[in-house]
Amino acid sequence: MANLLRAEFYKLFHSRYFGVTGLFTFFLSSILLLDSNGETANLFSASLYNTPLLSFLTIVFSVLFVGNDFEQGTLYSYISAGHKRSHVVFAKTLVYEIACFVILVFPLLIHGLAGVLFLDETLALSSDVWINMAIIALSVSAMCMLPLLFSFLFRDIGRTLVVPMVLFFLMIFLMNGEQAQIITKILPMGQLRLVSLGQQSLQFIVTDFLWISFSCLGAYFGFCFSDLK
Amino acid sequence: MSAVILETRSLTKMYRQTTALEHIDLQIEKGKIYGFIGQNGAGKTTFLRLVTGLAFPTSGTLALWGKSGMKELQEQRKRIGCMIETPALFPTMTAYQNMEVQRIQRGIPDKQVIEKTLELVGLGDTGRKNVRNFSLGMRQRLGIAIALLNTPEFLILDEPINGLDPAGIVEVRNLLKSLNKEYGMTILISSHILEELYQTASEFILIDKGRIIEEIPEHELNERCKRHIAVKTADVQKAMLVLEERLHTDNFKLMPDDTIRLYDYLNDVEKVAAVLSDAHILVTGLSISGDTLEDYFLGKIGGTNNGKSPKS
Repeated sequence: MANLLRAEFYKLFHSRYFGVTGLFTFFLSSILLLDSNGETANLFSASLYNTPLLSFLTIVFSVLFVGNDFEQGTLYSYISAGHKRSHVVFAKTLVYEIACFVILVFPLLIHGLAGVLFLDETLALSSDVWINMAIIALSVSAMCMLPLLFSFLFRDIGRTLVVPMVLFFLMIFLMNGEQAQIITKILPMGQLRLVSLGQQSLQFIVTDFLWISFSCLGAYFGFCFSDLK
Repeated sequence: MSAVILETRSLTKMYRQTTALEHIDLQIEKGKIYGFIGQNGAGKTTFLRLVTGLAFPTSGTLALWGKSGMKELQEQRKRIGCMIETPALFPTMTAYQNMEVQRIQRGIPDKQVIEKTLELVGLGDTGRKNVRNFSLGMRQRLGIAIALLNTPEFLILDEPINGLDPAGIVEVRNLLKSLNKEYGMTILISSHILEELYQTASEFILIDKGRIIEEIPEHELNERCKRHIAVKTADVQKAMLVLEERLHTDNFKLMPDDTIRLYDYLNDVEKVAAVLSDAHILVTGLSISGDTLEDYFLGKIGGTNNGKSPKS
């Protein structure tokens, strides 16, 4: 397991995808700050408000980091080298989640810091900073799990890109529809937006946990009991 | 008796309604080089996928070094090196980085093994060149290098010489032979280039439509690929009749390309030519030759037209 994690981190740091996606996310997030001006309390919240929109970049990252691995057959070398499939899923998921977390949270931290340094803002979203941080962490993780789930189910590039993209736009559409109040509380990307507007709830932790658990189980069963081509 | 590396019993693999492998009983013994021969879709790659754990059998058993439990098989696979179909490479990384990923995941402590293996396959000087800029032959060599990284006891190569130039083919052949000789490495090679396989392997496994049709050692194959007179004529039926009636032999075979192979009169070709000439048969080719592995295989599976049985 440790070897798999080391190999995955090596791949992450030696591929350009991670750095390029991270920088592009930061660039796009900074531009989108102009759109959320006045909606939120501070620059950190303004940046958080736009994070759901940036999740399409994690879909692209999942295609490059996971889908590509399947397409090139490189992930299969782990199995033929005698690693357990469950360990392969765990190592890939953990490294992917850490990478996505860095990609999406890095702009938040920079913008939050910029707010503190240049606009005399405080970083605190509310009195429950730690709860908010936990919700943000879980929501970001849950949001990124969906593309990973489809990567393990489809094990290619095309469908791994198309299906999560369609779902992404569908979720954005639903969050602006008639049932927005309910949908936003259920979807991780909606929860992030609610947190940015100071409408956080402890229930979010439960729903995020369920999202992550079901996605992990789906990835596990999709990969561990399938023939790999 | 040689130690058995791989043993399958009634190994079957089905994909929905299609049977890819049907009741495969096979033994791979230590220290031999096996040539795995079959047409496209015969089940070669499916079999290799089952051995390397990429696919699950529908029924039957598979044992590596005598171990057949799921966990035990995983453990034994650490002793295998393989390249199935195309080399699994990261195109945006260099050859060294590709090897490094494999070294890390296999837990090999010695970093120098990478340079040694790259040298071994002739990729010692690729430097910072990304794999996406490699030629097909270079990718193939890197795939072989990855398979050899852990100095495996059992090496599985699926079409290893695809894309290699003639010099590269000879290098790979010599490399495999020396690995087999020096380390006693057991090798299973699947290839379409049968003549090359003939020069490398010491045992041959013929597979067709998901079934093993024959396992044959090299010496026996040589015996069977015996010398013959190849007769080429436009009037094949008449020529066969003449051979039977005037030379009193039925020891000949009609091949899929309409060549008649006569296994008698090898020392009296003139007589064969004279008899055919007397019967006013226009002979366009008459020569002494031996069966190639390709011919033998085609003969076994019924020629290029599936289902058409050769005359024996």
